[in-house]
Amino acid sequence: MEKGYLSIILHAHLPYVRHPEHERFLEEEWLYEAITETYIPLIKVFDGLIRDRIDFRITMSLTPTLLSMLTDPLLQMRYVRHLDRLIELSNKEIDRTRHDSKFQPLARMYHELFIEARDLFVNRYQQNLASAFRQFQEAGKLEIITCAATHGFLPLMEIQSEAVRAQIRAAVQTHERILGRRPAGIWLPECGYYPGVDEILKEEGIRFFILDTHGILFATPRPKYGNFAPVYCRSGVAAFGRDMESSKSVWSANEGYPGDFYYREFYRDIGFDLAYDYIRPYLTGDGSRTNTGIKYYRITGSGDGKEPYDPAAARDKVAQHAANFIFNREKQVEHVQSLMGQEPLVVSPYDAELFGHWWFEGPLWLDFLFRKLHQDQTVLKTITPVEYLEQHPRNQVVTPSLSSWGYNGYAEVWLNRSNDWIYRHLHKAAERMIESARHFQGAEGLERRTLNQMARELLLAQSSDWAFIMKTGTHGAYAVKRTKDHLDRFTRLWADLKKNCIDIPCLESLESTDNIFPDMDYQIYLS
Amino acid sequence: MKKRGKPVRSIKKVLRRIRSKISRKPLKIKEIEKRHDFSAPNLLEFYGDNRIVLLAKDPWWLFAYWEVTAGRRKEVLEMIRDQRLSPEKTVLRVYDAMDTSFSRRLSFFDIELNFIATNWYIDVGFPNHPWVVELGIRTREGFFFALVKSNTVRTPRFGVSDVLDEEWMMPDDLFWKLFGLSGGFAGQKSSLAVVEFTTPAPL
Repeated sequence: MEKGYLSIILHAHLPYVRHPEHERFLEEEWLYEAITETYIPLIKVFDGLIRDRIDFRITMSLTPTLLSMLTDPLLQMRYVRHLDRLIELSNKEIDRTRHDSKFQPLARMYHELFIEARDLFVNRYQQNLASAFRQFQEAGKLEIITCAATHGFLPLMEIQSEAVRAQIRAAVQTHERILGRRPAGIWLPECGYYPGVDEILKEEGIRFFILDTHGILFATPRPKYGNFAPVYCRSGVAAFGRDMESSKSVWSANEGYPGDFYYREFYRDIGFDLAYDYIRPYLTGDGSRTNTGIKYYRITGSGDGKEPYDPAAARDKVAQHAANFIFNREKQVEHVQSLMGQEPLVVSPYDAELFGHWWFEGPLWLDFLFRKLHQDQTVLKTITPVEYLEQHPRNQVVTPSLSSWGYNGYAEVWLNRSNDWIYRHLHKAAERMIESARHFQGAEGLERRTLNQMARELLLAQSSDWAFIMKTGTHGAYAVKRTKDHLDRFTRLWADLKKNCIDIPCLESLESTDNIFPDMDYQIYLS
Repeated sequence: MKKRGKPVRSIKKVLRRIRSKISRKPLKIKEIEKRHDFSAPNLLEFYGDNRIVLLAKDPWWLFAYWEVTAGRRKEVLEMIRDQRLSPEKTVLRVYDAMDTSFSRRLSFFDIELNFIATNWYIDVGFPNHPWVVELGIRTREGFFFALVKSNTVRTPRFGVSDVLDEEWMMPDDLFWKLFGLSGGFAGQKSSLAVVEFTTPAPL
C-alpha cells in the first residue's frame, strides 16, 4: 500500500521563433537543440518504459508556441537539415579523433545519437513530434497540459481580463487541434498566478494549474496540508503547489544532481573549442561561435581543468541519484503522512529543457527513476494531477496568493528597469484589439483576416520570454526587436483597418511570416 | 644590412597583419548586420491618452506608468487658477485603498516628480493591501488636483495567512453522485423538493 504520491511535471516551452526570411537563424536553433537534446531523448525514455511494461505517470505542458513549431513544415524541414549538418560534423569528429582513445568513443556516441534522432524524427514520427507525445497521452502514461497561448505573464495583464481570456482560449484551441483533446490542466506561464485568473480558467474548461510553493503557503485561509495536497480556488479550479525539497535536489546549482562532477559539462562545446575554420561550416549564418551540442568533457570540478566525459561513470551516478531521489521522497512522504493522516502528494515540476539540454543525463535519470519506482518499492506511486483529483476530490478551499516561480517569487523578473517600457505598449495594443473585436464583430473577408493577424501579432508580442531575455541580457537585442516588431505590425494593421485601407501584400506577408495559430478567430477577444 | 633588414620585414609583417585584421573586421560586421538586422522599429512614446496604470511588482513595490495630454494639463491648471491657487508640483498621490472611511483622504502619501518622469516604482512597503494612485498637481496652498486616476492594485501576500477557518469542497458531479447514492433521488420527493434539498452547502 502506497504511503504517498509523486507527480513529476515537465514544462516544455520555447518562444515562437521562425524566420523564413533567413536561411539560418541563431535563435531558431533553440528549437533544434531542444528537439535533439530533450524532446527526442524523452520520447525514447517513454517508448522504452512502455515497451518494458513499466507503469509510470508523468505530466508535461507542451506550450502552444512549442506545439506550433513542432508541427510547422518549414521548421521540420530545417531541423532535418540541421541534423544532417550534425551528422556530417560528428563523422568528421570520428575521423579527427581517430588516434585518441578517450575522445573517439565520444565522437561515435554523438554520431549515433544524431543518426538515431534522425531515424526517429523522419521515419518513425514523420517529422511531427507532437504525434509522439500524443501517443503517450493516449496510452494513459502522459498527461499533456497547456499553457497560455504565447506564454504571456498573466499577472501583468490582469487589468485587461479579455487579453488574459484570449491567451487561454487560443491555447485551448491549439491544444485541441494538435493533440485531439481539450486540456484538463494548465501550466500558468512562469507559474504566474493572480487571484481571479482561475475564474477565466474555469470558463475555458480547465480543472487545475500548478503554483509555486508560496502561492499555496500564503493562501487565505491557511492551507491545512501545506503543499502536500491540492487546494480549490473558490471557482472550483484546483491548484497544485511545487514541493521545494524535491525541486532543489534537481534544480539547485550547488546541491542538485546535475552539478555532479561526473556529469557532462555544458559549457565545453566544440563550437567554441575547435579551430574556427574547421567548425565554421557548422555555425549559424553570421559565423559567430555557438554551441553545436558536441561536448567532450565532464564537469570535473569548479576549476577550468576538465577531464574527458566517461558515459559509464555518468550512468552509475544516474543510478545512484535516481535511488537517492526515491529514498528521500520515501522518507519525506512517510514523515508527512504521519503528520497529515492521509497520503501526501509531492509535486515536482521542472523545466523540460533542463533534462537533456542542460543536464545531459536528465532523461536517463527519469528512466531509472520510473523503473525503480515501479520495481523496487511500494511506498510511492506516480500520479498525474487529474488522477489525484479523481481519487481525492475533497480538498480545502482557499484563495492562493499572487506568485510566480521567478526570482523572488513575484513579478520583478518581468517588471524591472530593463523591460518595464513594454507594458505601456502591450496594454495599449490589447486595448485596441479588444475595442476592434467589439467594433468589427462578425467581420468577414479582408477585415477578418486583418483582425486575426492583429490578434497573432499581439499574442506574439506578449510572450514573457522577451521580457525575461531583456532582463537576463543574452540575446537582449533580439528580444527588444521581437517585441517592437510585433507591436509595430499590430499597429500598422490596426491603422489600416481603422482607415478602411488594408494593404493586402503587407497583410499576406505578415500572415506568412507570423503564421502561428492558423485557426485564429479574433473574437476570442470578446468577453 | 641584415640586422636592419630583419626588423623592416617583421614590421612589414606586423603591419600586414594589422591591415588584414582592420580590413577583415568591417567585412565581418557587415555580414552580421546583413543577416541579422536587429534594428527595431521605433514605437510611439505617447498615444494621446490621459491614463495612469498601476501594476504590482512584489509585496512591497508597485509600478506606475502614465501619460497626460497637454489639453488635460491645461484644463486642470485653469481650474487651479480659477480658484486663485498657485500650482507648485506634479505629484503622485498614493492612496491606501483599504481605507474607505470618511477620513480616506488622509490615508495617502505624495511622491514629488520631475517634469519628464513618465513612470515610477513606488515603495508602499505593505503586502496584501489595495492601492490607488492619482497623478496630479499640488498647489502651494496644499490643495491637490488630479490629472488621472489609476486602477486599484493589491500587493501580493507575503507570509502565512492568519485566517484559519477551513472550508472544503468537492466537484459538483461527485456531490450529485453521492447525493443519489444517499437516496436523494428517491421517488417520494418532487423535483422541486430535490432542488430545495440540494442547494449547495459547505461540505
